[in-house]
Amino acid sequence: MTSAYAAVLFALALFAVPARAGERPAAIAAARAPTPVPDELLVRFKAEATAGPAGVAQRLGDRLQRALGARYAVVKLDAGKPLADALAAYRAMPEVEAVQPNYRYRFLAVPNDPLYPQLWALNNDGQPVEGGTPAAAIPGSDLDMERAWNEITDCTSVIVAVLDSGVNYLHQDLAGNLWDGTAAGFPLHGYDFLDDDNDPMPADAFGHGTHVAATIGAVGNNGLGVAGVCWRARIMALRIGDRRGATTARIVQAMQFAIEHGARIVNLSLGGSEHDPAFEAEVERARRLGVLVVTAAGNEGADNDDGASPFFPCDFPQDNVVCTAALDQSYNRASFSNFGAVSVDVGAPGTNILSAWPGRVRADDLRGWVRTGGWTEAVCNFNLGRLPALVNPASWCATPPGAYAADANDVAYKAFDLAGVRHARASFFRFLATEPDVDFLGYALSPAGGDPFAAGSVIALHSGSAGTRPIEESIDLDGCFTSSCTFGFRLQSNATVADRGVAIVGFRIDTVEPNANAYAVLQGTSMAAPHVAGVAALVWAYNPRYTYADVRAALIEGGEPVAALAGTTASGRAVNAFGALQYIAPPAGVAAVVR
Amino acid sequence: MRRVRRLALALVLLAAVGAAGEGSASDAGSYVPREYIVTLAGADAVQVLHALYAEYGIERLQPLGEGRFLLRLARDPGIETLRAAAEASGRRVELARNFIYRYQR
Repeated sequence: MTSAYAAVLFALALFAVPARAGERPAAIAAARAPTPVPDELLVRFKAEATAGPAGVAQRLGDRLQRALGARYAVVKLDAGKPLADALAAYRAMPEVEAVQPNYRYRFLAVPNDPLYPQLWALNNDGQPVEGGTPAAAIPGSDLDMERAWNEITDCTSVIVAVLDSGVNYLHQDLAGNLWDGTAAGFPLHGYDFLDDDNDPMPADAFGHGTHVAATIGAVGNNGLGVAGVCWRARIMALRIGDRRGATTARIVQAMQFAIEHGARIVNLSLGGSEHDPAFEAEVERARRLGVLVVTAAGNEGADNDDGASPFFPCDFPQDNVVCTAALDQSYNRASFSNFGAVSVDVGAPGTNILSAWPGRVRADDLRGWVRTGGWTEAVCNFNLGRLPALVNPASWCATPPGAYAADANDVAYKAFDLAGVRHARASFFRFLATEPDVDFLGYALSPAGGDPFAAGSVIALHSGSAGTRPIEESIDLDGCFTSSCTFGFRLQSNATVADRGVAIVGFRIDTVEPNANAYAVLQGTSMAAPHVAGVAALVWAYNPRYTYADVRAALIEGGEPVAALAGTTASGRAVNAFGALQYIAPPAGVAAVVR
Repeated sequence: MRRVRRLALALVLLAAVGAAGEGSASDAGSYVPREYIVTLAGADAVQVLHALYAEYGIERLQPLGEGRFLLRLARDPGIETLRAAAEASGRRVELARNFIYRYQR
């Protein structure tokens, strides 16, 4: 940079009006103001000034530090001279046109992770999110992470327990940020309370817990994938359920495990509508032991406080619970987010959230399957749009529909490369209408390839009818982790009555893979909570002597007032990481007498 | 890309419609059938619970710590019957369903 160019930049900085001043609350705006160099001033002299900068500085007992072109100068103040006094003195000089402190600006901490630009929750510049739902965005509606990361990025002093569907601890963007439980006998970073073993890998390939964990603590600035709120973290992975949810028993066990093994923050991105004394007792025990519980407000768009639709653990009265509503990219409350002027504490980003996924998702368009008999590739109108389907008979979509053939033994199958995966699951929807207990739809699997009904094994049979409703199927593919695993359907019928038959829609295979580098976009208050848990971990790492109450106060009092949360949450604020770090908790238990 | 998104949206809607279809009660309900969380203090808790509920066929009695147990019965007489039995014993026994919590995505 040339000195002339630098001088122009200095001059612009000196007299520019701050953009969009006053749009943020005063506390955060003040905290964001740059720090003045305590013994320096920037001075602009009038063009017609007779005395030069050095002479003016000398008359006031100071000295010229550096001239920035003909009319600008950095002045070094006399030792101990208050900045405010000096500003007043220079303003009073006839040669001086303007004066201001010489501010110190710091570079913002921006991680080099390639998907970071899509993480609007961490830094919202109005960007679209690939794979997300197109949405309006207001830049600046975010957690203000880049300013917070100037202060701290490392949360490894605080263990965060993720009680969820399991975590792919071999994901490339998480592997370095997991709790090391080896000494305690838990070398795989947690525990699986569903299967009662040491391995918290999501055995059903459901990625919710991996997504949540990476929002808190995906390895940041590693040139890979996304960045978590914490660039360095210690995530304790506790599997408490599968895709269908988790039960009281597993939650209670996992909370005890988390507390006993040193977790200070528990993330619970789940909820239910029944008051649950055992769960509440465990939250109370966590409170007594100083553990913060961050939870989701719920996704029904309901008022948790109206008495008609309570939502737990959000509604538990313990003050170690931080219940979180979801905000969208414009910092409106997300349409699905529950709220509650008493029970819901804060808001945080919860729409179009990109985070880690345990493995690849192989969406299949049901084309290119090997087919015999009446199996046909079709595009049918399901009243939700036209979707590709695999049907038997070919007239399944017609009005009126036809019927499958008598004495059918029709097979459709396809090969999938599942070599090297840890877990895999096929999901699809089926419409079925067959003669009950006589005609059957079967599923089969063959690790050796070929017709799985001939070379492999049948894993399920269905018969009868569920009316016009689709049934979601989720089939474990364990044992078929080869490069030519085949999955197939078979429609078998006898010689008598036939019915409408079968349609398969929306076939996909989800996997859990070692060294995974997969990501997905989700939304929900499930996604809002881990943003808060991550900020809580940052605050606690920054202030190791804080109690859970101090961390909670920092999250809330350091938050940013948001109109959409006023009257619908207890604080009316969205969590702001920089604000939370800047918030200084008044000392508790100190009495003072004012005379 | 737009077509893929439309397909994804349709499948999500399909999932929402399909969720109320077939499936076990544990998929659709708010608690696990025949399972209870029982809280009973004391070193003899397991014996007491066996004595109280053996007639309903105890399939599982798993300690959960802090004096709590997961109780699964072969035949569920209902929570009020189980509570009445506990009250009659004179011991302070707390009973609740083993509730199901859903992820909020």
